[in-house]
Parts: sequence; structure tokens; C-alpha cells
Amino acid sequence: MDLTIRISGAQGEGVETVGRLLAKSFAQLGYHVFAYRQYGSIIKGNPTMFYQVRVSDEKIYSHGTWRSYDVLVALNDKALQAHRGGAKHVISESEIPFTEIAVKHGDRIMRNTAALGALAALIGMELTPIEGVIRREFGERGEKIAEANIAVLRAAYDAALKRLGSVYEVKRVGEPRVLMSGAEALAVGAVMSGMKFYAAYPMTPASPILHWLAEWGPKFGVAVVQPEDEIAAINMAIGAAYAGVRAAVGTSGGGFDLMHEAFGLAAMIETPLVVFLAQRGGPSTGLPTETEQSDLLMALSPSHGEYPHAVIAPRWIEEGLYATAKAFNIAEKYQVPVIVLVDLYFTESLATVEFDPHRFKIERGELLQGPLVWEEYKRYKITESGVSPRALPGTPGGMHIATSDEHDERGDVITDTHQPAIRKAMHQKRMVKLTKIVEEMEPPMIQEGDVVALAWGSTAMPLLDYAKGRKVGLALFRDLYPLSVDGWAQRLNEAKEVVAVELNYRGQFAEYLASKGVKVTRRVLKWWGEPFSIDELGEWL
Amino acid sequence: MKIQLKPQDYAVNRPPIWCPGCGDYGILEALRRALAELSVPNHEVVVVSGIGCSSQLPHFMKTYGIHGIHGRAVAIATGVKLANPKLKVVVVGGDGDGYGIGLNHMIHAARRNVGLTYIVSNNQVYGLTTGQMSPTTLRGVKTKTTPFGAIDEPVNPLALALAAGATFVARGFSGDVAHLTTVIKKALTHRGFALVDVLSPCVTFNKINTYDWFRARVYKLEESGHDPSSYYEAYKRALEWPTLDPYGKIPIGIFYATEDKPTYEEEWVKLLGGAPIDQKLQLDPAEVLKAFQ
Repeated sequence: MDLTIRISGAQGEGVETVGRLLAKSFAQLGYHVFAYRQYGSIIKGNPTMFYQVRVSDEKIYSHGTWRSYDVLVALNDKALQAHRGGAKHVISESEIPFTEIAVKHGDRIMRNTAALGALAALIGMELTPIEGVIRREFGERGEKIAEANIAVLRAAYDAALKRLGSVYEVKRVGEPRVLMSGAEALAVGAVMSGMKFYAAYPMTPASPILHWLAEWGPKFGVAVVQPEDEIAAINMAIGAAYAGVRAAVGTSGGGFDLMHEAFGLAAMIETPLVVFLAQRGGPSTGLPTETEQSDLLMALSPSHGEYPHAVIAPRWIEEGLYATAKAFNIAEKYQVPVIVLVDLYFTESLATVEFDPHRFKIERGELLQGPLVWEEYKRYKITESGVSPRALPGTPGGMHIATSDEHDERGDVITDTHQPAIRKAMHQKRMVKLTKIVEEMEPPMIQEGDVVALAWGSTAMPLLDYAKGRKVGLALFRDLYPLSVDGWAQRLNEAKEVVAVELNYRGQFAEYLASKGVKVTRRVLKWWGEPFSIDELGEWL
Repeated sequence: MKIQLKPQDYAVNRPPIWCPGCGDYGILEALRRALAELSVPNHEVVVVSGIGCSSQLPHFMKTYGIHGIHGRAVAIATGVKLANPKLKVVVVGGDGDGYGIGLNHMIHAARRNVGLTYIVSNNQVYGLTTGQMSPTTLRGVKTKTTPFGAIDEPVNPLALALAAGATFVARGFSGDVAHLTTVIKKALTHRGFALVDVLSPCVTFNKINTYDWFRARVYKLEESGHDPSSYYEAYKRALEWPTLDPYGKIPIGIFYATEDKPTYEEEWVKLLGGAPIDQKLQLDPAEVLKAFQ
């Protein structure tokens, strides 16, 4: 079974609530689920936003197709007009009187619940899992509201069963699955990695990371601070990391713009830091609620000057859990800032995941336990790997200064005089770390084919679904910087066609690969606020 | 057993690189003396600074330190203090760093009552960049960027800090190290955010606000019947200079001190059941998955 349901209505009409309830109910029944939300930067309005829930009894990675879906649930006329063309089956007020049922059994505001009940009847899904989810969701706000919603749900279900019948059958196919958003995957990955400090200023689409951590972080010993701006966020995180806790920040492109200077500070004072960079349409305020992959070139070199760092772009939501673990380990082992590069399609979509706790191994790198001999301790000692053992404040004898100025092995500033030998050695010491980090960077996931679709980050999700059962090659990149160029590059150069598939105008990754000697023969690009979908990929590849 | 430390115990071999006569020498000496009187172990002190002449200070302290980026010392220090509240965290910087580019961080650290001792070396000029107007330059003063006299109203950092909810607000004078030491010592033992604005002459680029200029104007609050527990009295005193009379008398000493507010780090320790640095890293995955049931 592979079923795609699109629920559309105005923002404030309850589309999101229904979409989430539905996704959770399917996950309860053991299905693989992916849910995507298309919406605007407005709190109430935009009559045609939609939530697309795709379910399957096999592993899926994306929302599926854009122009066709099995069922449309339209909560208003404009939504109906906008989306009915793509639907095999339609449920709207004209089939089932949502409003009348809601008013009669509960409250007008429960129209969306009526729509959900009607949908359940049409797809042949029993109400028990939905009712369970409703009780948990609304339960906190009061049992009465939950029960009123359930009454509405049942009445709409009965009416729809009589009028429309069931065209599918949705049975339990397995044990309940864990459903989480990409943002939640990052947040869970962070707490499982031992992160104890998170600072973020609200910004779509990174805010859901902050929201989950604000609620759950303190239970796991994580201080979750909402500071006055992004500049404070990253500087606080650097301070916390210097003091010895794993620390991270999360933001989108505009917020990260403000963090660039401090990003360089982290690299210069060799303090570990993880940055969750969730892209949206740019430049400037751009498309605040729509996805894009246009911050790649920025992520490759955000701050002025030269410094070591790493960029990791998880390709699907489950991978967000473990890519985060890797980011924290690289940050601490090499004492560098690491960017986890995602986007709105990644952070805000929901997916069922396999959660494997054994994949979290905390590697803290070279941390010195005291006491040390102050006269001898060199915080920035030149080593073969470029990494110098770190003493945390509170360690007797480990006192040192971490300075943003160029400094010597002790950390002492050297810029009051011209010191070319020290500068040469210290800059090289930091940069040499890249040659070690690159050894930990994994090659792309490759599937052979005459035509190879090449992508990075979340665009892997629709491509994986598209490639299933098709003879198309894939090259899907997660570890973007420093890029490990080995055998895969030659294999790509030997392919008949290599098509870069990216959500930006320039083909930023194609440009980047060209600088590494990898040729891209064609570019399939999209920059208007939508992820790629399977149907489009079929046409464009 | 606590070992009694001497000011020299906080010194490093490297001599400061400030101009001879710079007010920052007085601040450095007062900070070392205050720490020595309290005998805070060197390894439990973190001195954080931004960018500017005075921000070089952590380089001359035998403690942990971060010489960060311009204007962000308070934010960095907030992270240090929250991560490990056992550390004594001192922030040092100039008026450009703290009252210009970084002013908002001071306001927010004050309202959160983060347990930091923030010492601002206020010389009313940008020194390291060779003599431009600063946020505390008085109106009419000529600098490199105000050749016809400054037309910007100077900020009043003490009044701002009080308005923001700072629980300890004081002013010292580099020319009176003994007095400055007592002020910094009180700031170091204060529960919560402590601002110590220090009148600290720049002998190279500020020929107006000199040691003599200040000596003729400063008076000590503790000798004039001031009650530092009164918020309103503190505010009145804070307005005296430079707001009401930029060329009049300048109060120094402790304007305001209260310990009846919890600190930000105390609140976090309460919420987390301990400091972040003391939390266990490995979690029970079943506990984490409860969020998704």
C-alpha cells in the first residue's frame, strides 16, 4: 500500500492538527509515514495551505508526488478549487457537512475533526488509533474537549461511511513506529550526544529544534536559553563549550549571517561548537516558510579568514539523529565548529524512524584531567594532528588564555609585534586539522546508473523514492566539507550523464564539485519554495 | 584549608602592553588585589574580554581567560557561568566594547541577573583604533571622528544598568586603586550581575578627561550618606553624571546592591537539578523516546 492524502484549508482552520493526528495514527498502526506541510508566513489566512501525509507498508523517504494524490480533504472552497484537480477522491463540505456535524456534536471549531472522521471512513481506517491520539493530544487541555472531538469524529465517520463507503482498507501492519520531525531528530540526536547547552533565537525553520529542547531538554540536563539575538546565542554557546559542556546553536540563514564572526572565534580559539543551520528561501527575509538549499556556499566559508570547520548535511530524517552525533564528535575531537546543514523540508517534515541507541558514541577528544604544571602547559601546542590537549576551567594548573588574536602555543597574543614565524606555524597548525577531519568524511551513497542524479542533504529524500525500482543512478552526499574525494569521483566522471539536483538557482553543489574536478553534465534546479517531488523528477531527469 | 593568595599570585611574566600611565594598570592591580583578598584559586577564575586596549587584560592574569570578539564578552561569559556556576567569572572591556557595540548584552545580562562581575574601563574614547568618539564621549569633545565637537549625547551606563534590573551597580576610579579594590571585591562576592564602571583615563587620546580632571570631580558615595539599598536613591545618583551635569561632580562607590533576586545560573541549576557541567552525558534512550509516545 502506498497512500497519499492531502489536507488543505486556511491557516487557523486546523489543517496542521488534522495532518499531525493522521500521521501519528498511521505510525501507531505500524506504517511508514512521511508528512509535509506547505504554508505561508501568516498566522491566520492563506486558504490553500496543505498538509500531505503519505503512508506505505514499505520504507519511504518523502512526501511523494506533487500533482497527484489519492485523497484530498478540503476544508474550504478555495482549497477545494486549488487542489481537487490532482485528487482521485475528494472529501469536502459538499460531500460531508463538516460544519453541521461539528456544531451538532461539539463545536464549530471541530470542523477539522469532522473532516478527519470522514477521511477515516473513506480510507477504511478504524477510529481506535485516532481516538487514542486525540485523547493524548487534547487530553491535556481537558477531557471534555477530547470527548467532544471524538463525538464529532464518530458522527462524521458514520455519515461518510453511509454516503461514500470505504475505498481502501487500512489495517494494522506492525508495531507502532516512532514518528518525529527532522527538527526533533536533530534535537534528540543532540541530547543523546550529551549536549548540555543550547542557545537559539527564534527563526523559521530552526525554531522547532528550540521548541522540542525547551520542553524536553531540562529533563536531560540541558540548559536551553533564548537570548537577545543570534550573536548572543553563538557567543554564549562558545562560552559554555569553553567551560567544558557540549554546546550548540540553531538558526536559519539570516540568523547565521549574524553568527559568522563568532563562528570564526570558535575556530580560532579551538573551541568545539555545533551549529544547526536550517535553510529557507533567501536572500534577506526571502521565503520565511518555504524550503531552499541556497546556503551551501555560505556554509562552506561563513566567517572571514581561513579556518578549519566541517559541514554535514543529513540526507533523510532518521539520519538527522546520527549525523548530529557525528557533528558533536568531530567538533570535540578536532576542537572546531561544525555545521549541520538542513532545510525547512527537513526540519518541518515528519517521518517514522528507526531509533538505534547504539549509534551514539560520545568521543570527547583530548581532554586533560588535572592537575597540570602551569609553567609547562601549552593550550595550543603544535602537534602532528593540529589538535592540542584541552584543559577546562577549574583544572588546577591549566590556566591559559584563549584569544581571537593570533597567538603562540601558550595562547599569548603575538600581534603587538610582527611575528611571521609564529603566525606561520599556528595558522598551519589549525588548518592541518582539515587533513585529519577529511579522513572521517564518508563518501556519497552511490547507486550505479547511466544517468546519475547527484544531490546533497534533504533532496536525497525524494530522489531515493524516485529511484526505487528505476534504473537511475544516484550519488547522495552528506559529508560536504571537507570533501573526501576518492574513487567515487572517477566513477561519476565515467557516467554518461551526471545531473545535479538542487533547490537553488546556481547549482551551488555542482559549482563546488567542479572545483574538485567532478563534472556535472546537467542541472535540475528549483528555487520557488517547494521540495522536489517524484513526479517532477520523472519528467526532469 | 584556604591558602591566602597575594596580588602577585595572579600575575604572569608578561608585562602589560598599555601606554605608560594608562588607567588600565589601576584596574589590573585592583582586580588582582581583590581576588587575592578573597583568595579565589587561580584555576577557578575565568576572565573574559572583548576587543580594545582594556580587553587585553586577561593576558596579564594567571587565570583562565577568553579574549573574544568585539562587544561579545558578556555573552561569552554568560555561557561560561551557566555551564559551570562554580567558576568566578569576571568580564573586562572598554566603553566602546561594552556600551557601544555590545550594549544590548549588558542590558540582557543585567535583567537575567547572571552572576558576572563586569568591569568596564571607561576612558570615553576609542583607544586601540587611535582616538575616535566613544559612546561615553561628552558632548562638545573633539576627537578624530568629531573634529567639530561631539554632537551625540553620551550614554549613562549606570542608569541603563539600573533600569535593566542590575542588582549591583558601582563606579570606581583608576586613580584610586585602594577604593577601586574595595568596590571590585564587593562586586566579586555579589550574588548576581555586578557592573563596575571605572573612570579610567586614556593618557594618549583623551586630553580632556584626565586624572586631574577626575580628581577634581569625584566624591565617594559612602562618605556622603548614600543608601545603596535604595533603588530610587541609586537612580538619582546615577543621573548626576554625565546626564544632569557632564562637567559637575562625579559620584564613585556603590550606587546600588541587592541580593534578593535569584541569579540566572541558580534558576538553571534548580530547573536541571544541577549545573550543566555536572550532568551525566549518557542518557537512557527509553527516557528520551517517551517524548514520542
